[in-house]
Amino acid sequence: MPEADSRHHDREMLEQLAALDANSPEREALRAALIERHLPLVHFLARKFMDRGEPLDDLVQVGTIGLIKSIDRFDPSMGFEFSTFATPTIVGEIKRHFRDKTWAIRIPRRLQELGVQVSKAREELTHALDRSPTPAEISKKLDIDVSEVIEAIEANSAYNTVSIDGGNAEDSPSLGDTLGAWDDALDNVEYRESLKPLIAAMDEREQTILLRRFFDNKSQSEIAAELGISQMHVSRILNKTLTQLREALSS
Amino acid sequence: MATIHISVPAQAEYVGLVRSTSAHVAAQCDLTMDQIEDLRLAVNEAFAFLVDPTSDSNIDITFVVDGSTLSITLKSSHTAQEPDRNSFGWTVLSALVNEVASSRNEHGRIIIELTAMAGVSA
Repeated sequence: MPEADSRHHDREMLEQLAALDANSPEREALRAALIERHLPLVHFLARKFMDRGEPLDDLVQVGTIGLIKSIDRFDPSMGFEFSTFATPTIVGEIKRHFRDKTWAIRIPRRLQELGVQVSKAREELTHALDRSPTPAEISKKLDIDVSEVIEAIEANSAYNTVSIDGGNAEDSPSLGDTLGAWDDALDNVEYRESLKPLIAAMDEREQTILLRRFFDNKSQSEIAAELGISQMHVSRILNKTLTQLREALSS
Repeated sequence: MATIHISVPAQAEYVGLVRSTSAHVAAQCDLTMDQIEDLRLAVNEAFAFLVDPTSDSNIDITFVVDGSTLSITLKSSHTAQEPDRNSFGWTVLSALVNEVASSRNEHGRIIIELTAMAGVSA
């Protein structure tokens, strides 16, 4: 079917669906057919979030929930193309999945909350002291035990990092373009050639953090300030990228 | 001065235990949060050099807290390869702690020693 006809057919189906009574027996079949017809859109969008630590199947599954919601909510009288309407909803479901499901280990709520408090105190103290605080300083500020401060760091790093707003491998500039300035520093690294494609496959923010930390020798706090994100976020990204590199280089 | 010893199988799944212990011990010697985070990454890298999935040997780790200095010694109990100074892992390790050294002792064991000092950035 030519594309224009296909779109026209979609529109007819959607108009029929909107006109049908919620309990109508035809409704189920029509809805199922519409879902089926738009699964390629879900696959297309889910693939954009690949390589962020979640299986593609799971992303397709949550994306499909977004598609179903879109079909149920679509109002043909608004005059939008269905795909224009559905895309943000599908992407929204996928992003929500990353937000909700990516604690690699289930962290008790108490520790999650402690993590947030410690993170906040850490940022405030970093600002006040103009250096990274010690666990003792944080424990004093929050009136908690030093070991709880450490537990909070531990709990935070169990979070499986995914950067939702980063680019993907296709969109990111190739590292060949950005690496020039660091070539001297990298010269002595034997793995340089095998490292390059691995770093190039990371998103731009991961690349920046890795290079700032290890080739510009910036502290995590300095990088956090430069990128306008929390130090905890920098820490997670470093943890994740180093693990990825180590695994890729040793395999 | 306080000394803590732990010994764990030379398997990747034990790295969390070692990393966690490092962070708790580091809190005893006034290291900053940034330094502790770096130390955890460094311990990860050092442990990764000594992991041997094919062996049933252990890695012995000794933490020594001496005032504001923390030394961590990781010793493989098998004849592992000495870490390559030009490898990426070593570059990372060197950037994360104040001092890092590796050697082979008279029994052929590989020893990696990391030192972090309070008030001195890596």
